[in-house]
Amino acid sequence: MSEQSNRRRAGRSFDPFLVVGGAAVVAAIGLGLLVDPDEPRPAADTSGVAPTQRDRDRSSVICPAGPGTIRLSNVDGSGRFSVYRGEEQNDSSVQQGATTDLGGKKAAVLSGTGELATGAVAARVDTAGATECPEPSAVAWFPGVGAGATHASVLELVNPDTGPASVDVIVHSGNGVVEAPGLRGISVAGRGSATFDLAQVLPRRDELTLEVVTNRGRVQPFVRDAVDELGSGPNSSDWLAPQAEPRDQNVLLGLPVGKGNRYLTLMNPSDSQTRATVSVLTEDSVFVPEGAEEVTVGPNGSTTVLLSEVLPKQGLADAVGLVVDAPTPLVAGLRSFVEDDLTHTTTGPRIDSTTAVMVPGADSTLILGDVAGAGSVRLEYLDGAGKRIGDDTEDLVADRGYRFAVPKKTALVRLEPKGTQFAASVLSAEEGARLVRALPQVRSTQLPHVQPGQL
Amino acid sequence: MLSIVSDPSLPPPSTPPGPSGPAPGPGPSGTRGSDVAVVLVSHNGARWLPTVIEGIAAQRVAPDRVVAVDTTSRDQSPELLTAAFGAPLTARGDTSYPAAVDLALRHLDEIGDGSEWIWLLHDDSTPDPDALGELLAATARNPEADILGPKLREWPSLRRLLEVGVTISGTGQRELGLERGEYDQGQHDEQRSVLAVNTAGMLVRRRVLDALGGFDEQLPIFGNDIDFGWRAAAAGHGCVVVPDAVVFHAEAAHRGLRSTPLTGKHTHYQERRAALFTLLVNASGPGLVFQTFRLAFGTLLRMIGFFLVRSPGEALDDLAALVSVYSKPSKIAAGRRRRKAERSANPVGPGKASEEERGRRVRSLLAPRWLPYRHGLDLVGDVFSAVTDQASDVAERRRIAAAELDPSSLAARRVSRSDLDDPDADEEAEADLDAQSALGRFVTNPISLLLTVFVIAALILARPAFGDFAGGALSPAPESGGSWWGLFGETWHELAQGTDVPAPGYVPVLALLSLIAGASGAVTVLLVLAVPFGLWGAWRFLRVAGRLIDPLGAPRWLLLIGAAGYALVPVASGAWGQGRLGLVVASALLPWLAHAALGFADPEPRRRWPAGWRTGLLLALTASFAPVAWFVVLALVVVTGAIGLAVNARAVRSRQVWGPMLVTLAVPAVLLLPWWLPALTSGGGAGLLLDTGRLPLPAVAGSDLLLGRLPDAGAPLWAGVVLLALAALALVPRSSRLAVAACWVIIAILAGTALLLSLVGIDLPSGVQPVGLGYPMILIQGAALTALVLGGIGFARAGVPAPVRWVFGLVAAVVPVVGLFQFATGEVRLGDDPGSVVPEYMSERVQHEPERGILVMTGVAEDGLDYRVLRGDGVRLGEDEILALTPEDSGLTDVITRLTSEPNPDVVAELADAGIEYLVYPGPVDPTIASGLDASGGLAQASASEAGTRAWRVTRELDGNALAAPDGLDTWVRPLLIAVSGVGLLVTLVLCAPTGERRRRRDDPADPAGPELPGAPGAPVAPGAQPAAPATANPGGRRIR
Repeated sequence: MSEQSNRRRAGRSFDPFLVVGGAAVVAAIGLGLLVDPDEPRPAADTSGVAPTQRDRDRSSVICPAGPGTIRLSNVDGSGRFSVYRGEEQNDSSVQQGATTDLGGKKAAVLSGTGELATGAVAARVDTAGATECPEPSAVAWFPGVGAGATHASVLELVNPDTGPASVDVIVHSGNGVVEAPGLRGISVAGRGSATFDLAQVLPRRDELTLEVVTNRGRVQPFVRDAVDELGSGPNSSDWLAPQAEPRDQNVLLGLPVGKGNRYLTLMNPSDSQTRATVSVLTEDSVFVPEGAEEVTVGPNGSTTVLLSEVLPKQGLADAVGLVVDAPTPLVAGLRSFVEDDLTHTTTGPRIDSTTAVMVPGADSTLILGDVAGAGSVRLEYLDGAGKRIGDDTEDLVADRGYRFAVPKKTALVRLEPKGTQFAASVLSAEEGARLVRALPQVRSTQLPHVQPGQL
Repeated sequence: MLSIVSDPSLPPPSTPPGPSGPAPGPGPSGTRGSDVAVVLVSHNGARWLPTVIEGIAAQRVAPDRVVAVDTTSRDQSPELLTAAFGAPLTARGDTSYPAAVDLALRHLDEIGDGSEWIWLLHDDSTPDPDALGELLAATARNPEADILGPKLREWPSLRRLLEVGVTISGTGQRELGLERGEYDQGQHDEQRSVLAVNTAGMLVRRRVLDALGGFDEQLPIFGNDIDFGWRAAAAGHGCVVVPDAVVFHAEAAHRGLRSTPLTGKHTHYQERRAALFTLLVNASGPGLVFQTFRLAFGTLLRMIGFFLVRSPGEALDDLAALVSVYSKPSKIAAGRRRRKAERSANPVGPGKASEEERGRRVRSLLAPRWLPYRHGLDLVGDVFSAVTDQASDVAERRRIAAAELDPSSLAARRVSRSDLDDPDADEEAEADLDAQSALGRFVTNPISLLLTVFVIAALILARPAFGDFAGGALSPAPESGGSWWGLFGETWHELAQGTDVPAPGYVPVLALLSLIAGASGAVTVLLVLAVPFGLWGAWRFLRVAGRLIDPLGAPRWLLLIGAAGYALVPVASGAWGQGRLGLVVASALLPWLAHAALGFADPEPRRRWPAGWRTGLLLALTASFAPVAWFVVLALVVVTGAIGLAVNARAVRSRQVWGPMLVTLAVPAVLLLPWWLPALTSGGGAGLLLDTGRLPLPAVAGSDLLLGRLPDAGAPLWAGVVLLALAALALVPRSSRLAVAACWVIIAILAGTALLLSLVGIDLPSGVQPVGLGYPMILIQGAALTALVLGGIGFARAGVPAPVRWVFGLVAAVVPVVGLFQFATGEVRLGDDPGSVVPEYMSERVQHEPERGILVMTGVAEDGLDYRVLRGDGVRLGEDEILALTPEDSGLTDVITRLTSEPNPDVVAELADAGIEYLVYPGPVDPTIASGLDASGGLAQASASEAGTRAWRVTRELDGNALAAPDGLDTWVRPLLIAVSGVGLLVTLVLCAPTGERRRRRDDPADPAGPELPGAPGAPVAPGAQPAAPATANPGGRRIR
């Protein structure tokens, strides 16, 4: 009896709704906690997709205004270049490997499409000097410019496009950045150019480094440097080719031989002082000669030293070039005033694919250095008509320099790197040394990943 | 209740010699020699005749003669009449009332009866014993009166007034001058001149009847009394109502309790036709043209009204009546000629006034001109109160139904208690309330004060929604609502590169609102009123939900906590602060939706259908702002249906159960057709699973879903934990456990649905977006709060110690308090719109020219670039969803790819062909791309508003047709869909609107005038006996529910 009543009581206390409710609570919380929808991944977050490469369909190289002539060739194909000189435009036909003399003192923009979309090689050559004609770059460094009476530089900014461009020129001296309001926010009209005589814009006696930054549009800067030993002293001028970016190791290829002063300018764009070691590149090795001294460069400063002060004279014998090493990236340039002739040597870019370099005059030597690793190079010497008059193949290793005598009548040296990258220059020892650097060819362009974004 | 029984003391009627006989003898103290002949017309009136016959017999002043006319009744009427008055005159079944009276009059002439007065009675009208006496006494007092009518009271209630004289309004309305269902308390007992009196009980001088040619044959059954009175007044005869004489009238034909060959099933048609005819034949000549147009126009208005109260039959009757009358102008002309002749004939009576004077007199007896407009206002008021009260008495009806099913149940005891106690208590309370001043009531009620403070606080705290408030997920409103109408109406939108992705469903709603408040104002209204509106809805819902488990309902403090807590759900969740307009509106609508859905639980199946339509309409409105709502409700219906099948398969299989739910799901599909169908066909179907608003959408995961918080927004999570814990604790009290468990089952279903939905990956052209779980999140909050309130009722009623109740209440109050705190101090992103990267001058230039687009590009080549195209005045509210779902224009992407890799004039020309005038590239810019664009040729550098941003203008001529719709686009489809949706909306509105219930009474066994009642318990009492208790039905008037 009592068992029965117990059971009944137990039965009464059992409430199905409580069980259902409790189960629902557990189910609700359990199921709810499992819910995990996709996080929104807006397009900004789904980016990071690397661009793809595509062959270029046009390119332009820019030559500065100046004395002498413009020599033009193409290693990739034949066709007609559009040549813009200010608003004036004409065409010039080019055969692959052949060199065309365009003449003219004005700055020129040489645009190629089709077969000529890549492979353009051009240089302005005169009796005193020569410089290669590059594609426009957003930033360019010019170490060792002058703004005084005896050493003065002229900056020319050439805008290859129809729209205006805007440029800032930042001047670095030994004490850091120099205020130069006249060189800030320079507007260069479409297809126009602007020229600044630094001695007038910013008269000062110390050696400087220019950093030319293009903010809008495209501009290629050029610097024509002149040394004038006042009075009856000698004077000379040459082009100062820019360095594209500061590097930990700067390799200066092409040292004119002879008697005279050599000035090494080092620019340190970092905010801390740095010390650079200058070593000598020969065909056998790179070495720091005994007695060499380190050069100290202040933050954002540009220092110019007489090379003889840091490097014993005998060290330069057999030198193919100089190597400047520093713990932080530097810009480096060597101004040589030897045999009353001015020559600038700056760090040139490495070449990774077939290109060519214009031979600026007789008695030329092709200098290779800054070799990235073991590989080889094939050289072809082409005359003005593009005919091969000689070739050479050389295995290359790092930390060595190479020198090749360029045959007479060679107008263009075609370089074909295999398995390595290197820098190259041609130094003509004809009266008034002329130095032209080989520039890499950009044959493909980036196709960025483009997608509709969120609003 | 008393019921009538035949007076056994009455002598059995002698077999009469002919079709008419002497009156069945005076009443107990009656006298003869009244000079009155009774004409009683009967048709299938056996139900009422015994009482009528007894009524005549009981007259204290007995008529001299009774002539009965039977129009071929199929029931026992002839036998009853024969037994009482001898064999009646018989006529065909389709004999009109005028013809029947005429037949009786000719019979009187034939038998040489020269009675001065004819007393007309119907077979459903029974006179009070003093009726004839009082009428005759009135004739003595008013010798100029030729027509006299009694006061008509409702039969069987006997207490409600039907008519004390009658007139007609300019719209054809039969005007009685009485309130609906007015009880006779002697308030209309003044004898007065009227236009007409009802033929039931009309005492008319025989010679006047003859002079006017009797009743008009064109008015066979309805309205002939007014016409007769009008004609008599026009001819100078007096008509007087004598309230001391009382006749009880069942109005069988009018109420559709019986149909005759003359009325058919369309009594409304007959009545309306009669009214139109009466107005047109009696109108003055100059007023006829005006009246003709007015009645035609008025009929259209009335039809709309009838449609709105779901009486399409009556609307069609109205139309048919109009057509019937207007298509026979010759009959009107004939009627007018006849009346003109009557007017010009010398009046027989003493009122020998000029025709002009008589015209003035008639006008004074007609209803005032303003009366129809007042009726219109009354109707609007009725409809409004009916709409707001719908479903609120579900709980009461369920209890009554339960009590009927099981009289011994607790429900029955509660019903009897509420019948006996509550109504009185309510009435007393109401009387008390009336007696007190409104202010006094207000200040002495802390709950009212708190509610008011809450609403005021909510309005003040919503101040970020005033003025310029775009920000967060809310795009700015367009300048005018016209943009929304355009967005809704057009198939092809000139957005981005042109798109046929349809506008989201809320656009027409905003457009409608903007008609009142303007475009920006519409959004302000929604955001500002969301909390008070949600409070109101939640209060109503929780009150009814509370009554479902306890007849006393929830304590008001608990309602306040629950409703305020719910009203603040959009705020506490962060939806309000983030400008998630869709969730805010859906949240405010949810309690109304739930309230409407309570109608599914109505014990009366016929009430479930309107509940289905109402719920469907609200669901459509909700889904237009939060489309996922439809899928959530679908899941709820499916799962609860499955549970129902398992528990009680028979009930669920009933069409009355699943039908309304199906309606609920179908209505949004039809109303949102212009959105859903094109969305599915244009590839924007994913949008139906997303929350609305600007991207990126919130990913409501796990704890956020349960605790009611959007990610990284809203009130602290612990407050959500408190709510869930209390909702679980609410399972403790036994009395409310079932309902609380049901809430938890719903929460579990919602969580399961959210889990299923979260498996859906939505990959839009602009990236992956989470499925919209905002609505299930809000629903879970609503269900948890409902559980809390229901559990609270259990705690309050279960004899739980007061401290426990206090603690429960205090902890529960945390929910609204935290919500309010969040409202006051939480992050509000409204108004923090960072402004466009597009410079002002560009926006202004392209503002009204969508074909001049602005391409906005971000990123660098190394990492990829995003772009979007802005047109017109930028992206406005309603356009986000379209743009998000618009498929990528691969052609444009290709152009931009080439533009950013190697721009040249040809690529720029393609940009111009795509209708893009400006290119804006906010920093950090890729210098290569920027310099490339500088160099491209065809792009001119333009100034940008911010440093680091680059901008260009396309110098090529733009293609004006860049955004033109593609040739193959079917532009007729959208108008068609909108039309279908519009018709669907009308139908839904009509079907969910409260209904006029008069015509339904025939089927309503509870109706006191229903067919079963005579003889049944609760049947009419004999005249003169104790009146019955007040009936609840509203006679004659239209009851709107």
